[in-house]
Amino acid sequence: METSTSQSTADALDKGGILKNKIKVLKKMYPHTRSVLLPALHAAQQLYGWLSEDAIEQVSRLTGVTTADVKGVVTFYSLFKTKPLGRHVIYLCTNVACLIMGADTLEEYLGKTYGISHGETSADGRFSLVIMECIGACDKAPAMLVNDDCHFNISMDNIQQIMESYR
Amino acid sequence: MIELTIDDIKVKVEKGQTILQAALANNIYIPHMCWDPRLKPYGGCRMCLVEIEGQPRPLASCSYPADNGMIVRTNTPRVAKLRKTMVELLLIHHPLDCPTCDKAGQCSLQDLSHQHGPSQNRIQEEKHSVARRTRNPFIERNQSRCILCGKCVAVCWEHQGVGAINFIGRGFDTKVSPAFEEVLDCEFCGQCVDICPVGALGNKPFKHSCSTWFLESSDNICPYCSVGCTVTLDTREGKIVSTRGIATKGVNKGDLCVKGRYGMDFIYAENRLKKPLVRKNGGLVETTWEDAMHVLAVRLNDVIRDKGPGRVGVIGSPKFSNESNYMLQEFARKVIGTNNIDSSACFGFSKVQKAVSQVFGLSSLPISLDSPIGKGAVLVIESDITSTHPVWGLKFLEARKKGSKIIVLGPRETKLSRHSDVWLRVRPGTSHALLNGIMHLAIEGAYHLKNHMSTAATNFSELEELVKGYPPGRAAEIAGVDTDEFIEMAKVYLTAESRMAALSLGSVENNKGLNTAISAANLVMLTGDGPSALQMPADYANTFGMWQMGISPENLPGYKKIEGSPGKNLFQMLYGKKPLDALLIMGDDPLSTYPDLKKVEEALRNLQLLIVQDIRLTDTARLAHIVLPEASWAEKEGTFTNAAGLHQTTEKISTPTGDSIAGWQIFRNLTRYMNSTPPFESLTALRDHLSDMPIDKGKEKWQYVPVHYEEVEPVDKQYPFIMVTGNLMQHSGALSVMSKNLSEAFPGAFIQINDTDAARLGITDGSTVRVESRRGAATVTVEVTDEVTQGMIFAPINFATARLNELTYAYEGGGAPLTAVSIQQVQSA
Repeated sequence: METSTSQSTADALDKGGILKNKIKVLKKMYPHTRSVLLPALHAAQQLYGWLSEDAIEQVSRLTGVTTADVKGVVTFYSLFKTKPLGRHVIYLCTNVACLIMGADTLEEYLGKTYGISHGETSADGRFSLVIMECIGACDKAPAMLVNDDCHFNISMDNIQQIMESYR
Repeated sequence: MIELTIDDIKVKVEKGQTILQAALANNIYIPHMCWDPRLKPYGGCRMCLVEIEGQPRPLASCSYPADNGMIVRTNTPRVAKLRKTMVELLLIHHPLDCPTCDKAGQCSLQDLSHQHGPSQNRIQEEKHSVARRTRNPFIERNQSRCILCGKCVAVCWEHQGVGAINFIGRGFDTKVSPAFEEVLDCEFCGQCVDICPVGALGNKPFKHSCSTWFLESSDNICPYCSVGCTVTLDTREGKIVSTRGIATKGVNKGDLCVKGRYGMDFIYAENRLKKPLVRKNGGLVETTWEDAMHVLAVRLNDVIRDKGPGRVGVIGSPKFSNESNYMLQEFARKVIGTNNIDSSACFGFSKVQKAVSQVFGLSSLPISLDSPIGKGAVLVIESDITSTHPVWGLKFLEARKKGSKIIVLGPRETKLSRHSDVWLRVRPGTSHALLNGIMHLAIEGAYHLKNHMSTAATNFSELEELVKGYPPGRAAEIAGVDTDEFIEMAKVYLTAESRMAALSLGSVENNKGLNTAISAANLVMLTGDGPSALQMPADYANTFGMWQMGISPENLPGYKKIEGSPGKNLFQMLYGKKPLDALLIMGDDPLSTYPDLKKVEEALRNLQLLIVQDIRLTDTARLAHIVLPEASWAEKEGTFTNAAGLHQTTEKISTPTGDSIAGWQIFRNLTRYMNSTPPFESLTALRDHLSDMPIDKGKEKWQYVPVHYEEVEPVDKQYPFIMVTGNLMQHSGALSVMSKNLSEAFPGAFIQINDTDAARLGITDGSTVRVESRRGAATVTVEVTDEVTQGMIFAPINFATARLNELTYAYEGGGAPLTAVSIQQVQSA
């Protein structure tokens, strides 16, 4: 059946069983297997850079959550990548507080400088831009994430410096 | 009990019920869309909002528990306005393509719009326009119509344990779909189609066949397995166009499987028999009933006169009604004068009957459909219950959700193994050794001392002696499992508060034998649980009833033992050294399902007279001298007895095909042609007799029957694989193969082989292989999968064209009649 082929490719993906071991450890930390799903997906994303169909299948098999359910969770959260993105991913908030404080000019700046809009990757593969809902930093708006780092009170004065720190 | 007031009516309900349940139970209607009695409340559609005195806001009655003294109003102006808005909101994105929607007329959204909705929508927004997905055989997905109530997702995972679909995406773009938008490839139970309140999930075979308001509905009993589900058949001009399960009806309460929902078109199969056939000059020619009956009577009388009635035999049918089977044995015993009466059950359910009578002294042991629920531990012994008895299988999943531990012994991955707490992947046919091993541990740990019954039963010391030979190490070695894992499993079972063991012994399953059933019976007795803790269901719709009607060489109707020597059983009739001279086969096709095809064929060809009475021209019928057309299920009235011993009547809803008539009529007429007096002239008289028939329940007396594990046909260098035969969820026996729907979706014979074995032998998925045993060979397509364990081949036996039963053998002993085979690729995919 289809599963047997996809399973072997998914297995080939996890050379040395790194993800398998990680999820095994995670499983011990949570009462239900379904609770392991989010940390498992983060682990997979960290390992592979993004969540391909094979990666999703693999997480599904390792956690015992159905593939459709895993895919549902992946597509619900914008922090999960369903296609390969650049080396660094910029998550820019454009909700009310950030917008008022100038998130739109930041978006325009990123578009002009790196030629990227929402969901796109720059030609050199350095940056990808994801426009996001509120990241909970309204008091320090406008705010954005680059990979796992938070940047607050961004303006046209300091954005260039921030971007330069990601090569 | 809780008392509350709903719309000024005082109602009483059990604690834990929601307001909606309380209202519905008391005939107070609250509109609802995303609620279903089988599922956890979701509270998504907000149609069931009610006002509760003392609560500032309206609450969703589907998820709010009823409480003492609560005063609920279901229809205030405030909730009416909210409902109106709710419908308005639901209709913003809905395409409103009702004229071309098959659900129109049965659609909750349409009904609610009619009752509550506004005539015009204040909000203009983008409509959903998602491409229709139609590339699977049964379920058409039309996501533009979806209101995201989540019922299909919940029923698929929560209730059915499959989880093929889920919400994919977020916000406006959310749709219900398989993970990667691939073609839906699930078990096709169709539960999601029935539960969909709108037309987003459609019944593909029904598509555009007629508007729902032209349908007439009537209830009937499903003719497939022994659960005996109530199916609601929608007919148009007397023809069945769709099948539904309705939540309030029958033993199944709305649940159906793929066979029950999509397999009813078997009655329209092209090879249905329309007229009696008589062999003339080598060929079968159509004739009249009078002619066929006359020829039959003359030829049968000749055999009886020349060779004696002992040289004549009859075979009954587990798929035909009690009426047909009763009249068959009546004809055999009274008119022919023989007890040579048996059926395909002799390869399966007869072994259950034997075990039950030997160990418990009972004449039968009906199952209880709710048995798994509330048990501490449930042991499933090499049985794919969710495939053989799909709707009963759901009870195992429900039990697990309610806290039971499910223990599965079996080499093949099944739905139950996926939902189990403990799964021991045993070598095929070895669960018997493990059962003996569990008993060894039970006695060692004094788990058998819960009550006096277990040690007081006859042969206790013999059993004790026998299981001494099965210490954990040995039992685990025979079964090919880890000793510690086995001990752990046994502990889960033995230490549970309450226990149950379940196994199916279908006539085409060869991985268990009489001894497995006996050993399971010994176990439930030893742990002090008694017969009710052992659930061994009959396989087909009327296997249980057929037995009760006396289709057995040893028992008369009502399980009464025959005085004197019994008649010939199937082994003696077809496989013995001196086969019969005349055989009457009713509703069975030995050539397609009986083991050891070559021997069966030889026996049938050597008959002086072969009479086949069936609904279609089977391979066996092609060899017959006389073929009689019987009206099928739904074309005649009848009674089926399900595995729980419940008699249920099947109704006549369409006219019989051609000249076919009911089985009881055939035997009544035949009796007259044989110059005897029929015992009954009318169906009413026959039914009255059957309902008054005394049932000999037997005398309960516990007696251990110690049996050693036995390997009947061990593998060797030449035949290194074990072939396990069985049924699929989508097919069981010859009936489902007649269904166009099921056959198109699951067309041909195949076998499954383990991926490691396949790689070693250079066999690729989808290629053609030759499987060979000591008796014969067959050529089939192969599926490479990790669902089966190494060294094993799984072969669904129902596809007659593959002649896989040429490889198997008939075995009267107690072991599991597994077949040793070799396999080699003949043609790549």
